[in-house]
Amino acid sequence: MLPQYDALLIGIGPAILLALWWLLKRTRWGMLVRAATENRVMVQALGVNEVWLFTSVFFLGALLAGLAGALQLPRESANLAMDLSVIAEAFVVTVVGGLGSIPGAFIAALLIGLVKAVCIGLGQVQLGSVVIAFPKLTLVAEFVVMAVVLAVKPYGLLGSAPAAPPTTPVTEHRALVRPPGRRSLITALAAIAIVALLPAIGDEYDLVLATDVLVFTLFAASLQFMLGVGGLASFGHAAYFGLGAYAAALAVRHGVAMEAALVFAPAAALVGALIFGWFCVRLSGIYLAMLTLAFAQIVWSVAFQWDSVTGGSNGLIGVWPPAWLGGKQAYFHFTLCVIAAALIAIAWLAHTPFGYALRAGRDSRLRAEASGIDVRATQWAAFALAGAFAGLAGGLYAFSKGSISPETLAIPRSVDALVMVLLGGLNALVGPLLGAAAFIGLQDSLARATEYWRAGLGVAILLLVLVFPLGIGGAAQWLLARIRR
Amino acid sequence: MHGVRMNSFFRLPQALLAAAALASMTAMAQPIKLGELNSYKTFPAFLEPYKKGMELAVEEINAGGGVLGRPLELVTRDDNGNAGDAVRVAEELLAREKVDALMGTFSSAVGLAVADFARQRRAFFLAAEPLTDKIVWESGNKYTFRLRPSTYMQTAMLVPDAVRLNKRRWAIVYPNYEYGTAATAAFKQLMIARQSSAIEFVEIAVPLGKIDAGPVVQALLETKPDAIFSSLFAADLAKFVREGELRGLFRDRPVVNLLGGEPEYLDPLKDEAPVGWYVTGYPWSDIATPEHKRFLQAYQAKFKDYPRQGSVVGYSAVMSVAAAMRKAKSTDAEKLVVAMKGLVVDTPFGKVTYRALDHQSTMGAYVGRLAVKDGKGVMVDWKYANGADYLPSDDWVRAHRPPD
Repeated sequence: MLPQYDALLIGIGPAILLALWWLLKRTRWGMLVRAATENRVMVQALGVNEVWLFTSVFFLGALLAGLAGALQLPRESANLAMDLSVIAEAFVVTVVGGLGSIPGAFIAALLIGLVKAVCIGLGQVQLGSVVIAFPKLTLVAEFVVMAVVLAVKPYGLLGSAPAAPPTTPVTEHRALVRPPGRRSLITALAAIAIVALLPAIGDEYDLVLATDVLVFTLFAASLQFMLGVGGLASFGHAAYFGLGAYAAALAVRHGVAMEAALVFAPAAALVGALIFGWFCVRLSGIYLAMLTLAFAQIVWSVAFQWDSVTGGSNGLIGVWPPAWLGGKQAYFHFTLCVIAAALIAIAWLAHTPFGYALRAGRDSRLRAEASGIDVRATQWAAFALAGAFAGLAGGLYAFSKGSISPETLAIPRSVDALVMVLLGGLNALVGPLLGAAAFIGLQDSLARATEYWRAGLGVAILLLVLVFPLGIGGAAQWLLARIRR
Repeated sequence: MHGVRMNSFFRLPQALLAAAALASMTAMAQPIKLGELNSYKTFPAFLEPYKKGMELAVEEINAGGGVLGRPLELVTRDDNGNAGDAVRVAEELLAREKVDALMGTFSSAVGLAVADFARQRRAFFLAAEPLTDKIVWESGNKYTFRLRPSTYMQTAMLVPDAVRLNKRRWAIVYPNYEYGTAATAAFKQLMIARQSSAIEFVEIAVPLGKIDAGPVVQALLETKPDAIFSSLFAADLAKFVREGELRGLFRDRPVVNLLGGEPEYLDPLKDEAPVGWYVTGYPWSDIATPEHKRFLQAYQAKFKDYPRQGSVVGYSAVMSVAAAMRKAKSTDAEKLVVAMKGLVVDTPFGKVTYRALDHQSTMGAYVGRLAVKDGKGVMVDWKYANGADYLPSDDWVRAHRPPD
């Protein structure tokens, strides 16, 4: 028996698909949009107001999203949880279908819906002595589908490889990258020494906040290394942070001393990043980013559901550092030492021949390969190293909170890392520190000041991004350069 | 203008008096601070009424002269719905606000993380809402107490009705996280123990907040169950009810739904509330005990709104901490822990006791069936199930709870 409204929806979907297809392929407007997507400058030169054109595309997209929301309303009441999950699903459908292919998106949506329905329909299946609960797979069905599709078809079901230009156009002026000199090192060491004096002026909570900032600085720095230096966008960086945190927590729960358990954090994240990275570096751009997201969600769902090992949705508690690090001050100094060393290592890596090779691959894959650089291997190594550093941050995080739960691996944490990197500036050495400090400082002060802190945080970030398009760190660098001149 | 001046002129002495009184009060007594943290922005349906309940309790306590001669002050924080942020917020409450006690939390993960933090920092913590069984049993600790009846207890309250139905094939649908899996496990265990005739179960787990109601209902229809046990709530419950009614899943099939009668989740269903379901909940409009009537009147007078389940939890939690401080004659965490053991507190649901054995309160819940009245879902044929009657045996608790 099929409810009438569902029958109506089954009709509306293909109707909109047909209408969109007609609009894009048969009208003048559609022709212009397609032309502008391929070559914006050319269309502009022909006298088309491409700002208006893209505004109209944006308008149509938003209109359809609104329509989808309205169509969903009779099936569920509007609720606050409709935000991130819907965004993630929409992205997944677009990427699985192949960017730019509307029939692809339609097929992808159908495929994901079918897979979910089949999982629910199968129910619990007994295979020998093992009972597999298929309905539980619905938690990540779309991400598993995406991982499989992208592993087989790197540009989605119906997408095609973009006509790659011989060199990636460098949109912003990139100055020659010089390794930081002795002066920078001295400045950094002096800064670390000053930060180490914080316990003298701050109260206990300042130390808690500062420890958080340090942990997230390393987390953001590892992402910045991938994204800024390597040009590899990751939407699922929380996976490595979480892998590290869980590895350290599990080690401690199995009787390993905390000092030794901390080694497990980067090790586990490194292994995870090596495996996932092997698949990811075969892709590029948004496809790569979405595959990282898929892997992160798969890791999250494993942590979320594997009750006997990871504690399931409750996570693991009782993960405290030993007595000598029990005090806030001791733990802060310990974190500062570890993280300063890790940050210096990242900065050093970025200016080794390996770092330059990575940049070459980012800016012009063809030229880099022609000069003998194995771009894929370089990117894989960068991916793994970034994962390991994120894992180390995760391990330190687990011990600072005494517990770890699956939210550490979830999408919002990956988004936080991206926000911190972009706030701080993609190419600024101090970017991650500034980004993490701004983000955590804002979150902490706003959450105490107002009930509407989430809105406040959003507005504050929006303002910062508008005022500093290159990030706070980018703005600081620009200012410094002007003063020096 | 003239009138205003007259007014303020006549009020001046009064204001001065009030100011003087206030000044003398603050000079004599620093307020007692209750540090409360919760996932306000993640679970607003439950937690907004909960906050109002706390505010009412604080107002009543302060009108009656406060606690130990000192006024009570509530410091609330949003824990962002995750354990890491919750621990940071708890650090802030202890280190900077210097609160005398911690309370609150909603989800199991956050509740357990804060409980373990309280153990580590030797701070008193009253977990008001988290339903997880672990917080008082498998992961219980010296400094943590819990107010609400746990998942196991509330499931046990529904089991007598489920056994009476005497059905063979049960379909179980539950949100795929700790609360849902614990409810399912408890239901299966208790049913197998109590039902004399044969019984079998089929299970469907759905992602929390993202139920694919159509396929779930279809799959349930295909398993041809004799009865259904569900622990869905909020948006998932609404979608499940709508699709289930549409596809005839509930025709001639009794349904038992944990928490389904709580106004937070029942009211959004309006006239779609599924008639005849067996639920736990809070029939606020019909409870005629004097303690509840007094609470209801005070709440409606202050907020011009009716209380929800959350309001009762928030109100009773603050009252519990205040009672413990009075009994301990102190705000010291160690003394509070001693005072809480065996403490009897007056709540809108009657007297509840915090058990010395496992720090669980004996607060109960109302068990009844759903009906629609004047276009709204209500509970009928309900009775109060005292939490004390639905606890696991003392021996079981001793075997599972780690020593303090």
